[in-house]
Amino acid sequence: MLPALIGLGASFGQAHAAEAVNIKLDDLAVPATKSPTAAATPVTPTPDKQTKKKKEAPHEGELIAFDEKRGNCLACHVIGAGKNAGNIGPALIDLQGKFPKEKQLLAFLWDASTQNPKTIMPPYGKHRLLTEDEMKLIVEYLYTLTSAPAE
Amino acid sequence: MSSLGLLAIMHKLAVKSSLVALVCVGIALMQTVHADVADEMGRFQDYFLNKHPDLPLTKYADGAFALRDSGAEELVALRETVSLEKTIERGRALYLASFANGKGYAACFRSNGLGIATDYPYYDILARQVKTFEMEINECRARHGQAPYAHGGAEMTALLAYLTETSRKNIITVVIPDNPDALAAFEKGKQFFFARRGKWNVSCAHCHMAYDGKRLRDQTLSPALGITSHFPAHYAQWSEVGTLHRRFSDCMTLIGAKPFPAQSEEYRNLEFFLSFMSNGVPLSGPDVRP
Repeated sequence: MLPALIGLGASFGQAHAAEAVNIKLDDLAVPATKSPTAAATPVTPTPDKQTKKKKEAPHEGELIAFDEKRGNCLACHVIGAGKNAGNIGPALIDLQGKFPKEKQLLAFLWDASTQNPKTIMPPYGKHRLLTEDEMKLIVEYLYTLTSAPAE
Repeated sequence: MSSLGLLAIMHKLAVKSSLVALVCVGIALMQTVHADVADEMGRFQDYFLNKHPDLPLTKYADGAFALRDSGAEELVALRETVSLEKTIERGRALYLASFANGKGYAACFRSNGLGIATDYPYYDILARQVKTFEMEINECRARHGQAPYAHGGAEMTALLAYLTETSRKNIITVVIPDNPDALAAFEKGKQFFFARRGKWNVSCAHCHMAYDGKRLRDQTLSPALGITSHFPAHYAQWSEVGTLHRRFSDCMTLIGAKPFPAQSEEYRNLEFFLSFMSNGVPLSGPDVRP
C-alpha cells in the first residue's frame, strides 16, 4: 500500500540524487546514530551563552536556521521561540540526546536520506543548501535548546 | 460494446445524480480501466481513508479544510470574505458571447458545454495525449476562427469558473482506457507525483500524501485525494481566481524547482493521474482557499 507508493518516490529520489551534486562526505561520513530513543542527556549551556542569547543578538546559528532563504527550518519544525512554525518534523528540542556528537547531527543535516530514504528533510550539504560552516553554527545553536519551546 | 462507446453513451445521459454517477463510474471502471490502474486507485484512496477514518470520500472536496478541527466553519467564513461571483459572471458572459461566425461553445461540446467539467481530463487515443477542458476550449475557438486564450489567463479562468460552476457537485469520473499510450501518460503523471525535485528535494507525495493534515508553516497541507476538485480557485496569494496548473507552478516554485508551463504535457499527465486517483470526489470548484 503506502510503502509501495512512497517507496516508488524514494527510488526516484535516489535516481535524482545520483545525478545531483556528488560530494564526498569526508570527515562527515560517520553515520549518525539511528536510535533517537536513548534518554536525552540535557546539556547545560554555559551561563555566558544564556546571557548572550537573552540580552544580546541571537545566536548566529539561529539566524541561519530561521532565515527562509537559508535553513528555513521553521517551515517544518517548532524551534525555540521561532514564529510561524510548521509541524511536519518533530520539535527541535534536546537534540544532543538524539545526536550525542556534533558530527552526527552534522551528518544528518548533510543528507538525512542516508538514514531514512523516504525522508522529507532536505539534504542541506549534499544539495549545497548551506555551507559546512553554516551547518556547524546551526548545530551549535540547536544544542542550546534544552527546554520546552514557548509554543 | 466497446468501452469507449459505453462511455460516450454515459456522457450523453448527462447524469446529474451523484449516486447514479457513482454507479456509472463503477461500471465505466470495470469496462474500461486496466486492472492494475484500478487497483492502484483503490490502494491510493484506501491509504487516505484509513489515515482519516472519520472522513468520507466526498469530504475530500474541501481539501485541507476537511483535515482541520474547525475546517468546515473556516471554509464557510472564507467563502463569505471572497466573492467568486464576478469571475463566474464574467465567464458566463464570455460563454454567451457569439464567435465572429455566429457560433459559440455550444457548437463544440456535448450538453452545450454545461455540466460537463467532469468529462476532463481524458485520454484522447487519436491525438495520443491527455486533453483538458482548457485545451478543448482553445481548440473550439481555433475551429471557429477565434484567437486562443492565454492558458490560465483571466478570460480562460473566468470561462472555466463558469463552466465548472455548472458542474458543481458532479462526481469526478476519470477513465483510463486500456490502451498503452493512455497507460503511459498515467504512469508519467504518477512518476511526476512521486519524484523528488528542486532545491529542497521534495516530491508532491511528501507534502500531499505522507504529511497531509500537517502544517508547512501556518498552511495545512491538503490531501492529494480530491486535490483537483476545487479548481479554479481563489487563493489569497493571488487575490484572484486561478487554475490548477497555476497552483502546480506555485508548488514547484515553493520547493525550488523550475515550473513547467500551464497545459504542458507534464502538468496534463499529472492532472490525469490526480483526477483519476480522485474518482468519486464531487467537484467543489470554483472555490476559495487560504
